[in-house]
Amino acid sequence: MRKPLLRKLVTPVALLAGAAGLNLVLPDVAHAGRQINNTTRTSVNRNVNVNQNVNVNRHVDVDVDVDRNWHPVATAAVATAAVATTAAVTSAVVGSMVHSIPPSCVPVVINGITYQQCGTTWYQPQYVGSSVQYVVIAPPR
Amino acid sequence: MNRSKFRAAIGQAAIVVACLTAAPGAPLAQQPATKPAPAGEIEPKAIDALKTMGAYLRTLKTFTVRSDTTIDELLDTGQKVQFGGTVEYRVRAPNRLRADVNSDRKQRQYFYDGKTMTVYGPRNKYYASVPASGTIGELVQAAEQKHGLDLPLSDLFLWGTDKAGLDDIKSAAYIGPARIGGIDCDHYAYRQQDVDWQLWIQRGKTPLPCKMVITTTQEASQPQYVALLKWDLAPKLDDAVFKFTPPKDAKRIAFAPAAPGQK
Repeated sequence: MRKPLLRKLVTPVALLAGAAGLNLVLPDVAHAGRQINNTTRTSVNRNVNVNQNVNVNRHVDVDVDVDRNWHPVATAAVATAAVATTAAVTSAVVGSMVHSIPPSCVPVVINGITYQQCGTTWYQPQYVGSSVQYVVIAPPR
Repeated sequence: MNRSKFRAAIGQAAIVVACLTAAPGAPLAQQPATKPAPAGEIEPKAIDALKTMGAYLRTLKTFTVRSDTTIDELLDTGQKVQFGGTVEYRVRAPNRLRADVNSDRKQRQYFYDGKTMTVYGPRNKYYASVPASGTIGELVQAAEQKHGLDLPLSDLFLWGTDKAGLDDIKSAAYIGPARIGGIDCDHYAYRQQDVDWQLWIQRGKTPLPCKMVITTTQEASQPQYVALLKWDLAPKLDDAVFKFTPPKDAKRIAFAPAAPGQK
């Protein structure tokens, strides 16, 4: 079994949100594409410390960065129950990280940094290596 | 095959095996150059070729190298799939770098103007910038250590420096001549922890890498990265090439905090 793709960090904010019965935005499951494990090396010399973390955060969607209407392998039988469940449970938990966000999100710039607002859920996009990942955050305003 | 012929074949095979196993004891110098060293041995010629190439690379002040690449990735099912791409480096030593890294799934541009390093996704419009300094070799190492940014073929900037990692090589062999893209090259094979790699080096006065293959032996399925390189040693590169000016619709974000692996 490979490691879970999403890290779940349950915070007081998230617990409060759950307890209050707030509507949490569910991810667009159609975007849950096939995952690839990109551990293939593209250079010979590499820092030893980085090597130890080689499996961390290196799982990415095959279709990350691909234009949203083009999903060659993503849509058919890929969105399995397991993926849907995992995503639904963790997507709106503050601190959790996802590889893609629903198409309905709106970029909002606060203090020069771009966030994505998706209903009541806010994401902070960030570069993890050369991949963009989205961290669920408490509303910044 | 009847039984006696089969026995004869077994006997011949045994002789061949005996000859092969005897070979490692023989002094290296007496072996013909075209015969690869047995696993675990280092042919000085193969290390010297790396040193010569590295020293030459570090004499280049301005160059462009464009590469057609393929990379194997593993699906969750364990199946290997191959993606194509290109890598273009535009370089002005010691501290100007521009990289355009495109694959079937991802587009990235990297800018280093001696003061700031930026990564930008032309399609996702996100960019992140951090202060940076030092040579290009120092930059690529810092980018990897601080931000997990793996610039492909970054060895190009480390060979010929004290970060070339020649001490990590556990096996080095000269394989033979090869012709790549109409250019005469020599083919070498190296092994070190987690990777087997092959390098083709141009013959003659400009010992440039012609091709590189990196096999990730750490993975059971041994995925490969293949790069064919084309060099331009007299490009015109003005300052604007290395300086990132955000397009109007570009969105600034940050790098993830360092050491995401700490759990």
